Amino acid sequence: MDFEKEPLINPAKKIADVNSDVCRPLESFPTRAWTVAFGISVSLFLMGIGLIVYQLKVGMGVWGLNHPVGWGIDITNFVFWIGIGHAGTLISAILHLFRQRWRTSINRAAEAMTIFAVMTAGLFPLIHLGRNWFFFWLLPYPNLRNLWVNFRSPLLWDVFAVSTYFTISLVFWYMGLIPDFASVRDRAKNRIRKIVYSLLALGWRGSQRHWNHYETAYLILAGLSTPLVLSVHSIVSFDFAVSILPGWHTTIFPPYFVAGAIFSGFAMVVTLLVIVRKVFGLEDYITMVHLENMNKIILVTGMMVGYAYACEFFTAWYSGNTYEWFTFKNRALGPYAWAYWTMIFSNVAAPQVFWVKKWRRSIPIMFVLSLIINIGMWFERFTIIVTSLHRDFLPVNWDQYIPTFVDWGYTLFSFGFFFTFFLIFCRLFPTIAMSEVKATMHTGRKTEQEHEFVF
Amino acid sequence: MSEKHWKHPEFEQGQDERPEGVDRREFLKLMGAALAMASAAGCARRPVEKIVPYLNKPEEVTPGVANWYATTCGECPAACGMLAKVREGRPIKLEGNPDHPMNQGGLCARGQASLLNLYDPDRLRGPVRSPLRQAQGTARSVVRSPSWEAVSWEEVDQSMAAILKEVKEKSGALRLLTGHIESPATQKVIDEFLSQFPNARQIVYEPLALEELREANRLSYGEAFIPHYRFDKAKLIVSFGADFLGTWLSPVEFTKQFSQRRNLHDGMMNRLVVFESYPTVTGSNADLHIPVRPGNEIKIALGLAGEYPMEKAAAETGIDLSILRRLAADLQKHRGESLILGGGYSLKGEIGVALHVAANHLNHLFENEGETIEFGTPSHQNNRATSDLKNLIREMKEGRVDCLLIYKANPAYTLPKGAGFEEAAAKVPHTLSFADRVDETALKAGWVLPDHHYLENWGDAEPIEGLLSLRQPAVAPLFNTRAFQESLLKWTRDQGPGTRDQQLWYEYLKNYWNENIYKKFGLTSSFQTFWETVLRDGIFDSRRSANTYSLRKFNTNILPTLKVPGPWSLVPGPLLVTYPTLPAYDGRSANNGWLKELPDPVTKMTWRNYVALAPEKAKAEKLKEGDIVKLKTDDGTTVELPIYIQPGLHEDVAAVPLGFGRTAAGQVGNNLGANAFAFAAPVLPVTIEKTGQWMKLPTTQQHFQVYGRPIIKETTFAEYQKNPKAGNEEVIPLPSMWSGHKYEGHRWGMAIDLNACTGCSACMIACQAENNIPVVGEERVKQGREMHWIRIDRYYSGDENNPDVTSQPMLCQHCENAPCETVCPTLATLHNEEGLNVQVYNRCVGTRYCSNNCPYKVRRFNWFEYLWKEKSPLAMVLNPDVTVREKGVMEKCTFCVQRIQEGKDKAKDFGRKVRDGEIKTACQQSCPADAIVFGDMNDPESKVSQLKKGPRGYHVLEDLNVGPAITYLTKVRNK
Repeated sequence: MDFEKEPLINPAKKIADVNSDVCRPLESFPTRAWTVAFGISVSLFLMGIGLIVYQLKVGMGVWGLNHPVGWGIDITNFVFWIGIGHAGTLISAILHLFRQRWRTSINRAAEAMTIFAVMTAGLFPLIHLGRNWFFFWLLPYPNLRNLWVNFRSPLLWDVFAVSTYFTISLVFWYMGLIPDFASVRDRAKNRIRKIVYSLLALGWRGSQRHWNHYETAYLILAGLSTPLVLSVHSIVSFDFAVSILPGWHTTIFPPYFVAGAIFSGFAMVVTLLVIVRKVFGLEDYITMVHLENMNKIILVTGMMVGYAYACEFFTAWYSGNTYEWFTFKNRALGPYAWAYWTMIFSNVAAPQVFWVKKWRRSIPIMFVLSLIINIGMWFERFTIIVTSLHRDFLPVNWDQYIPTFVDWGYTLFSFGFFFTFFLIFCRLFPTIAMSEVKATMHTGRKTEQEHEFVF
Repeated sequence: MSEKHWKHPEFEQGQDERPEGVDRREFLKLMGAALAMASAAGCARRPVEKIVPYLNKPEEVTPGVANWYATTCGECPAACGMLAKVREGRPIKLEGNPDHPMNQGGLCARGQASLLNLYDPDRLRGPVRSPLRQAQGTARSVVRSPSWEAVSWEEVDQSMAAILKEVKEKSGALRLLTGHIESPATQKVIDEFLSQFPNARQIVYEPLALEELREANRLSYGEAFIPHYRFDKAKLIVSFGADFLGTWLSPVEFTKQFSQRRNLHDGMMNRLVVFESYPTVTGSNADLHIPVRPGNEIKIALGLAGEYPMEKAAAETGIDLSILRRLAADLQKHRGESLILGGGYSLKGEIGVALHVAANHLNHLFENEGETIEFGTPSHQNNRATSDLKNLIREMKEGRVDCLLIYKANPAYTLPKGAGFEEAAAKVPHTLSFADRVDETALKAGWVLPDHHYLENWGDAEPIEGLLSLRQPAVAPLFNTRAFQESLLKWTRDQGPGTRDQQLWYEYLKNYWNENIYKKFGLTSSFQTFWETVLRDGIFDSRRSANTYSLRKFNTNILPTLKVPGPWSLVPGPLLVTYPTLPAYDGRSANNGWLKELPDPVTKMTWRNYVALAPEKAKAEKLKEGDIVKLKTDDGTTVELPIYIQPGLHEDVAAVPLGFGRTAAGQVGNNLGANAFAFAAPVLPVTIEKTGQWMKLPTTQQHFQVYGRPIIKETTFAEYQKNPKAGNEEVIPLPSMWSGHKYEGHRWGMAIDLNACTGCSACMIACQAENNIPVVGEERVKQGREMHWIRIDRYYSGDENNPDVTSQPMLCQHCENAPCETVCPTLATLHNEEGLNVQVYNRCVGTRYCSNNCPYKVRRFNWFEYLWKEKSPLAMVLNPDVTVREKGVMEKCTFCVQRIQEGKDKAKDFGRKVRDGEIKTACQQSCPADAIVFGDMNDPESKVSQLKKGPRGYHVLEDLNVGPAITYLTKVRNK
């Protein structure tokens, strides 16, 4: 295999270097780049708070949504961020089960991305409610009025799927962080720092028994998370697939959404890690091997998504269903054709450059491409949601959805929200799973005892 | 209600307003309350409001139970009979009086919406005067003062006494300019008032008058009158532009009559042929619709009569000769059972008269006189000469008028720019207006003495000779207004200091009825009994059998004097046609949000007017919808309006709706669109110049094709006669995995006859009034956020440039397998045990998923808090039986669940079952065409069950298997 020939981590690095390199951002003053990025993120975050206050006061009408198009950029952002949140758990759980050791350099950041992406996604269903202040009515809680939720509604399934996914991902992430928190604690020179990380490390001392329990728990959590990776986006896709709207009511949606989520999730990991490794000087740990592997996954899932697009279009025609076929023609040729073709270009055509090894290993190319893919995947959700709604069954209802500054503002806000958390994470948490990386450090050296390091 | 913020109206006297802000005592109270609320229930959202019961219950008022008062509609000259629903002392809904022989329960959109005018915040709160004008007294030229001051009625009466005395003593000219006076008693009041003066005259001016028809009848029959038309007797109707289903003469009555021959109940159907130059409701219901260039109608009419070579007529008008031949043959076949109508409001002058004469001739030729046209009971719905206005303006300009009183007329708005009314008005020393607001004309007046809204006033009407109806107040006057009649009576008889009560006018009216009706007909019961009976019923029908009157003889000598061709035949290029639309009419209710937001039945445009162009014309001129163009006529009048592309329009016509562009209507209606009355005549040669600007049009519908979807099922009458299931043969297999709902008691359903529906949109306003539906404003309509629970979808089929039109009322279908119900996460929408798809506003969190999943998209979302913005007293119009929805909540048609409940309660009180037809939804009740039937589908004998099973019944989007509770009946065209 490739990575046997090429070391995962710069062979020059010693085990001792790992802790000092990874912990450096935690133990030094923020760089200028970080401060600027954080400032922008927090500004966008605060702008979003302003938008929320404005919306609460005036009403949902501040969005550009209208009569046929009841969901627009709100749910686009929701599905987009849920999709982003897929890569982390996939990397940590599924790749862990498949013994893909290259994951260790990237799983921490990817999992953090998952947590924050799911948090961001979770905001949108709350924001897009007409009466946000009653959001808790979506939860089945006992109440004096004996009112219950509707278990037939996919939105309710969403509530369960997303909250379960978030909980498991959070626990999983935290589990993995415990040994690293202990390392940070041990390195701490400041008293407060020591107390905080001591609390976070939950008394981890690295004993044999600790490691034993840790590994078992980690394996169980990986097993638990794996089906969730598939289920969350399947269930999110049910929001559409279970409806009767042409363009939404499709059986292909669950696998198509999962593939799309992995695709966009990996693209986002690439975007983030290209920056993180540069900014925090972690090139030795997040090497070209990791990036290339991710690009390969992007190439594969991109083609899966491309297949889904083609398959959907074919089915629409082959079914002979007037509404369905119209919806797809309208996607490709109607008023939102620009969104459709942006999607096709970004998600199907653009990733094909990764067939070439040189391009797949080029930082600028992969960075630009990862951004293109993220844009493309955003437009995929936009296309699905808006083009299906804006022209459905009765031609009388057909209308256009024109997003207002609020719709776009919330989109910016979601990035602000996400990056605020992510940047805090980069400053306070070890961005690379130190304990796990150490285990892979000898693998590139072709020692005969290679298997000893395999968990 | 609208997005516009209600400002404090001008001239408010402020007597009912509390001072702004919070004083110390109030503040302490609030603090105490806030503390109590906070400690007692931390999450309480609003302070407790106590309901205080009546200590002494007013007679007739039972809280929660409506009183119904029979009265007469005052919105347009048609004067339909109606019932005002009054809850706790305030009218909340108007419905047609089912006992009235004209409208028989139906009421048009404007009639129903006139309720909102009662609560218009822009109405004057009391009489006002313009001090400057007053001070200048007899000065010959007076500048309008910008400031108005409130005065008391006593002051008004004192000043008026002086003014009238002065006029009388110097034998000055007093002129009373009125609109159409439908009330005989009011006319008598006017006559008595004017008779005091040596030189006094009444000038009647109605902007949309049928003067040409009256003149044509004078020429044809020797008397200027308007006969009573009987569309229910006509099997073939040919109209040359008279929009009798929309705006012409008495549309509700005519729709009622027309639909009786249209609903196929006896398997028969009339045929409607329309030659018209501008788009009308009637034209969109035609079986054969032929666009003609204005002025060419006469050639066709005379061609059909054999007075003009048919080949020539066909060649000159571009109509297929075979169509005319067939029509002529059909007319022959239907002797005595056809009805030919001349032009509409827009065809003025000689050509208009000629066309009506030609139509009279056709009716004479085909023996319709006395059959479908009744001369014995002429219509009084448009009964005065209107051309005197020109003389009046001349007199005024010359300074020969000393005192001008204006009642129910707004010439400053409805006259062409060149008429010079405004300059003339400046030369009248004393001008009084009785308008309910300072409208365009009242701005020129020294005094504005607001009349009551007709729902606050007494009155009567005689729409058809011998058919009398009474008007009674449904509410005490909201403001310090006084009836016009009361004022005149006060000024006629010296009654001492004026009061607000209507005693004089009421006594007068009663006395008038005693003298002129009760005694005349020699009725046996006492007058009091008679009076109370008429008050209760609303009408007194003294008509004998219509045809006992002798026929009038058509004067054939007049035919050769008709001028053919008309004045525009030789002018090349586009012709401007200004025409009244159903919602806007002549602009009188321009400040009415309901009407402003009511989509025009033909163009589906709201809020503003436009230039309608035929698709070919727009294409040729390279104009697209929304392009703003400048219309310019030869006299230099220019108007800028956006383009609207309207198929079915003649290529040479640029049609502009009247009634927009008002500048002093009020906060809702000011400066919307442009005033098409500004043009010198309704039909004029015009040039269209591009301005390069574009605007998004506030239309509620942008796509008109069916695209092969099972939405409209239509067939021809010939096919229908062969097989009543024609057009509806397709059987879609609808297997289901589910057992379906069980209905033990009722299962409500509806049937809508697409053949009867004319698209008049009365149901939309009925629903809006009944269900407290907010008005959202022009900008929100552009965004696609209108709130109507029922809408009229309009589809085109056939020829792209002159399509067949189908109007389809679309409302919540109350599906058996409702897609909305399964997707709501909070169970805010669910199926009830009577088959209703109910929406629980209190439980709705506003995910809008239900709307997304609704194939009919009939759900409406409250994007904003609409109702709290309502300025007093607008909120008084709200129906207390229907919840006012909060922002963020989904809403939709409930099948008028409050009416169902009321009907069931009533049946329970009598210990019986609900009778079929007893419960009527608001839309059904208002429908002048009886297109909507509501009832229990569990009862196999009910009308709705019968229609559902019948050959014409189908469901829209049946293939989705959502199982709608609304059955549509196929559209049958008598091609």
